[in-house]
Amino acid sequence: MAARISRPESGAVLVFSGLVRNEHNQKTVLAVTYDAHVVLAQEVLKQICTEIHSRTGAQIAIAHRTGPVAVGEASVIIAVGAPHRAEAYEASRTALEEIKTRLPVWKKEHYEDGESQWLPGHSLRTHAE
Amino acid sequence: MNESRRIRVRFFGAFRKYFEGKAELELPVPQGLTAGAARSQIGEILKLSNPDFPSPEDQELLEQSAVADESRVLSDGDVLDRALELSVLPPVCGG
Repeated sequence: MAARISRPESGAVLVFSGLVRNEHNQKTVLAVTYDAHVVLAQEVLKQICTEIHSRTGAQIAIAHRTGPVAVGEASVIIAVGAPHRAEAYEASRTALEEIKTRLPVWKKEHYEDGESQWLPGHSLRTHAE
Repeated sequence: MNESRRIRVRFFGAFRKYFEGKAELELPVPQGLTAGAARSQIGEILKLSNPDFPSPEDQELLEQSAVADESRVLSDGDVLDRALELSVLPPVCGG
């Protein structure tokens, strides 16, 4: 991912990995499963990258897993390249926040006690209205 | 222009528990139907095929869900005359 966004003028390259954690709300998590509207998700990722590039000038690439992901594995990777660290950190942080509130992806957690649960999230209705 | 046609409605995330196999149904779409009205009709169809729908959580989930066509999230007032497919998108939780 880093190679895709690195440029001769990049003084700062950041690669953020979002990993699946083994605990959430005092419950032991074994894995998560991601559901996605893939066509819309690809469109939203393009929009997020375009918006961030035009605002910060940073080069940015994002990958998000679908299906089952085990504890410790990366579910999302955000690679950012920018002339200076300030733009790189801003671009990386903004990308993750936008992913969490706009990307049509859903997460089901699987627990040690055999239970599983779709996690609550951010309504897209506010984005469309 | 076809007065009333039927289009596929796909479901995601927490809605999948209402379906055995494929999480989708067919919705009659008369001319001029809006996305908001389609959401209400989808709720009625789910009620018919799922005796335990809607629990209070289900109703809230549907109310919070966006409706999208094949390429974008719709506003409630958007008319579906050119929609080829709909999707019900519950509150998202990526990352």
